[in-house]
Amino acid sequence: MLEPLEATRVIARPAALDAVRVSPGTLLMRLALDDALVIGGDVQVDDPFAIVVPDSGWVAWRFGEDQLREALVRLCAFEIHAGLNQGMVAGLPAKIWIDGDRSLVIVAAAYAAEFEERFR
Amino acid sequence: MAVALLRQGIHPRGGGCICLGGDCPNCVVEVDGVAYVRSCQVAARPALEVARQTDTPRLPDESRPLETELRTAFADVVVVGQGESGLAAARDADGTVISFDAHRGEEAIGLYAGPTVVAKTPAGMVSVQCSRVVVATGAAEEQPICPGSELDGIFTKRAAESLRAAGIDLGDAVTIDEQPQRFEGSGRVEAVVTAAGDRIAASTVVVDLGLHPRSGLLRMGQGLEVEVVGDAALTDSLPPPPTEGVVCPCSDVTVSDLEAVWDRGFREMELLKRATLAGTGTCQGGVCLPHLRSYLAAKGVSTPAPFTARPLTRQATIGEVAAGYDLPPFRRTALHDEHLRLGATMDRFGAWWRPWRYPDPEAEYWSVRERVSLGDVSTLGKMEISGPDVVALLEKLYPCRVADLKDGQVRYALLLDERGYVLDDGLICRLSEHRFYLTFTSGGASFAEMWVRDWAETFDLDVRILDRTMSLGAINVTGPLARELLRRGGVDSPPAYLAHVDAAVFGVECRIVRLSFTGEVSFELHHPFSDSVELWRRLEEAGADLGSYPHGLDALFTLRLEKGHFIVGMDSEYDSTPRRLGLEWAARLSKPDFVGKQALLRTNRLPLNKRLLGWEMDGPAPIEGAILWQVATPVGQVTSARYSPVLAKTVMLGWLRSDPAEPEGISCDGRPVRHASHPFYDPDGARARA
Amino acid sequence: MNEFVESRVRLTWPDRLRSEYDVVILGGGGHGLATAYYLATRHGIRDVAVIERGYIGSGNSGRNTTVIRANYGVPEAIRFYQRSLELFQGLEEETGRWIMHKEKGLLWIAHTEMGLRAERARAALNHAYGAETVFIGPDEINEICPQIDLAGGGRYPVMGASYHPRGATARHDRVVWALAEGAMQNGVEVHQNTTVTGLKVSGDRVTGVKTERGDISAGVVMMALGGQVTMVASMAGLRLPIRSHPLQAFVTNHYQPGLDAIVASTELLFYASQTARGEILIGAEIDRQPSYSYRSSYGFLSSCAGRALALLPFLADLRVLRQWAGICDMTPDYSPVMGPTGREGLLVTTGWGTWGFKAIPAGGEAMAQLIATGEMPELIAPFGLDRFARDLPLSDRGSAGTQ
Repeated sequence: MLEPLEATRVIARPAALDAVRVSPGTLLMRLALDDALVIGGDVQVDDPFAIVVPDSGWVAWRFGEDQLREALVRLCAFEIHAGLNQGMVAGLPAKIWIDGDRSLVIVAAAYAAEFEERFR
Repeated sequence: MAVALLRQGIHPRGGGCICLGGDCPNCVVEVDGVAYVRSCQVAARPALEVARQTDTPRLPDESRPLETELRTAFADVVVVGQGESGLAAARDADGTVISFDAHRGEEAIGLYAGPTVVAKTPAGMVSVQCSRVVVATGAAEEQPICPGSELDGIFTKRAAESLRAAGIDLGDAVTIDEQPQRFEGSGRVEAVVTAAGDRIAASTVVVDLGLHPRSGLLRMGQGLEVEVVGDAALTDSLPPPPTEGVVCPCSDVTVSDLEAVWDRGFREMELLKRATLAGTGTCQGGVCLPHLRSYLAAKGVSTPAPFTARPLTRQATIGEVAAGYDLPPFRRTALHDEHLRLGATMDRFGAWWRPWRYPDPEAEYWSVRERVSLGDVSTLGKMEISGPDVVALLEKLYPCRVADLKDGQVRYALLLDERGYVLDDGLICRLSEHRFYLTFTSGGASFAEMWVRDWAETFDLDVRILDRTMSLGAINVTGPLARELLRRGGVDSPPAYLAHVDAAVFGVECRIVRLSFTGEVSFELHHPFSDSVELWRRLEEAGADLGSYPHGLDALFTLRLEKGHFIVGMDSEYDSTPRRLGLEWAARLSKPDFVGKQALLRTNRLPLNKRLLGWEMDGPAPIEGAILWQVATPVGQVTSARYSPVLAKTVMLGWLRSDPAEPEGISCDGRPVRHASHPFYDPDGARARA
Repeated sequence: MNEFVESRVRLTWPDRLRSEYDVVILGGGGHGLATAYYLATRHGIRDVAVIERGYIGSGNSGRNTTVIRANYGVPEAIRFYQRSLELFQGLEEETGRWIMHKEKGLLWIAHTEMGLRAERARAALNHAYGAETVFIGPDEINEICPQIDLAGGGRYPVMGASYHPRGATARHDRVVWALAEGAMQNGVEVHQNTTVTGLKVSGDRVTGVKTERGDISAGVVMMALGGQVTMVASMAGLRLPIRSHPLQAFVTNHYQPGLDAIVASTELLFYASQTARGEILIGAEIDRQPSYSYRSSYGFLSSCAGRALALLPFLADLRVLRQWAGICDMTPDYSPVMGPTGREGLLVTTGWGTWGFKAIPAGGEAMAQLIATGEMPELIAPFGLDRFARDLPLSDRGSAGTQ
């Protein structure tokens, strides 16, 4: 159920990240003003000092939104909204992407074993 | 449950006025092995095991598995209590409303910042974050305080109504509406003597003594968005001062106990409470608080305030409140299963699982010293940093020079705090003019990003920062044959000592960093997390005929100690300056500025009160932490001690807590030790540079 | 009547606040009262007023988790707390009052190789400086406290422990009252419900205090103000290296005796013991955010309960009675500050973080000696405020029982 996530991490000037457009089918998660995780596509960013690296340090669990929301009610202590959510899920730092059938939960691969155990 | 018991003619606790409101301790029983359960707040179900609770229950011998869950919910308004006023408040509230109804077994146990209301419900624990709380908890009925109040057959008015509604015949019950002088009887009440002195024979007495607002949640919510409605908002009028009998049934405190401590000077509500324990039991003052206030008022203490309300207002078990809490997670490197396959004993270092030992410790050690060995160093802190101001920032952060590093060069560096104390150490690798790759210790990784970002902001420097600790693996290939192993992986020109190159090893893109922590030639291969297993297996296969064997941390600690490397947090202390560690060279005080420089300029002029020194002794190693003695005086403590197979003696690092010119006559573990310069092994570094 | 009703202590309160005393002590908690007690009983200095904002023991003295131990990690602290531990052992005999002192032994559990290393080193250092601490393995731990799950819930295996057999507990309120009574009997005045509004300063010298009930002149003013010290010190323009953080604890209903030892785990960040009355008392780490708030949090209760259960699963069915918070004055090095302030006439005892209760007798004894003689007693000389400027901190974070 957990699958490795092949992603690209982009650290750049906030304004440069603001201007990034990705093609349909590519998911860009804005983790912070200067930080984005891009899944399923390439990304060009207008910042000569940007750090753009492949990032295989994540695993993801794909869900339907309803299923995910139901599971999260007993595992996380913050309110889930559409799009990107970041916080602790079952005591693990996690990112939750809510977008209908394309919803997913992402944790660091180093936590994959703990996550599987806790997110039954 | 209380009603069911009373229907059978059984008083849950054997005696005491029954309120059925959850306000007193007089119906507590043991349910399924859990003591202090108010039977009036639990629904009777088949197969529940109910036992009368002795005054002090035994501690349980064991526990059942935890099954309670915590649900987190969000609402605009939380209404606690579903009497008339609570229902009205819920109906009239704007936005989403969540209500808790004690009659459905939903007990609010506490009101916390947020505001957040936590409740125990039949479905588990519920925590609701909201904008406003309405306390509609109603009022508790006053309990009789007089001799005989511990008898069976006494009910509050509401309890009597409930029992009658449940079809229980209360017989010749008489009702009194003033605190009586006493109840008479043996076991069961036989008569009540009223305030006026009339003796009325009755086997059941109903007391209708007035109401006191259940204000616990409200008082707990002071300073939060909390409003109170209905009976909970009543002005609390004081009962007549108690004159005789038990005031606090939870702790068995009588009026004469209050008198005794009052007379000896305990004249504050809190002192009275603490000196008698009144109000500190199961009902947390539910019964006694109005009477204690009245007692003090009668003594002339003006408007004695109720004592502080603290959670829990209603009780939950430790297992129940632990619901929803998850212990801190442990991290696994990508190679975790490889270590298990190789038979490693895993141990935890901070958050990470790491191999401590493999099945053949001798081979771990000698493969490094004589052949080649693999070590999993994925837990190292790893950071990429770039930007127009990156050099300026690193020059501030590190006490060594950074600007002069050439592309491809590596420098070992300390990291100091503002006091000049060593926070961490690691490597600075220059990738290009405006890009660097930094490493930190496994322990330092957790704060490194915060540290770097804080200073970047403090100095207003323009940099990009990415913590790569969790997304890159790292394998240390070390030993005299390390170069040969890399050659087999396709690396024909490995980096020179203290240099790095990016190159593929067995097809895996790696940043190869050359240094030496073990004392032998070492290449750290930093690579994508997802390629770790592939890289490790290929190195393992290719190294088999070279005599490769992996090494765990235990062996690594010996190897690095022979080489004289200290480990932050193991050998260093909180106040370890470079000078105390004997690493003055690592702080270049001629630099214009760096974090900790001002402190070092000042403290370097002070007397040196302790030093980390190298030591050696014959025979086996003492414990790490063994005391260094000078005759019968403790003068220091060993931080690391290992028997060195290659040197055939024990080598140690340890603090000397004084500054004699040449420490002499030092012993440890009953044996003489000698101060020795370190590195103990390969002091000129020829092997590491080879 | 329950057996714990205080049946002997007699507190006598002064009628009025005078305008001058030889010594004014700010704070009627353990340290303030102990100092007054030793001033009066050891040094014959009786013209002493203790000024308390609320009631005696209303601050951290009445909120702590009552552990007495000397198993610290720096020599200076071991000697100091060992002295305190010994004074505690004799306090019932000296005052004739029952403070419910009981030696229980303290287990400090290690769950990893690094933990083992730290506890072995602790035992060695304690032994060298006069405190009794030994390193023991799981079998001995099981003998001392059979309720401990040696598997640690599968996550925190019990690999060993340092065992401090003289570790004890006492009833915090009773300690306060015994010292208060002893001081009062010797002429010390304790003024409750008296709020300090300022310090009287003349040049560089503090000459007294201002209170809501009037000004007081004093030869010496000592601040013994848990949780409030930074605010009062600022009245003399003094900035202390202190940050105040809440520390929380909780207690269960009472049960028959059964948890004989004090159990602590630095990694799991909790400690547990059973009180004389039979309640199980559990505490943990300080809140990270500095604050003067006494409000409890459910997050603390839940996480502390969860961590305690990893080691002591038999606690699961005990019902929680009450939770509360105290305010800890934290120094950068996790050691207390005792002595002069740099303002003549003003002394301080502070930085008592999470370790103040256990230090009450030795802290009071030493501060009394300082006031009486004008010289820093050797036992506390390393704990002076000037240690930071002299770069001689006493770092002992690993012994705080907290993080």
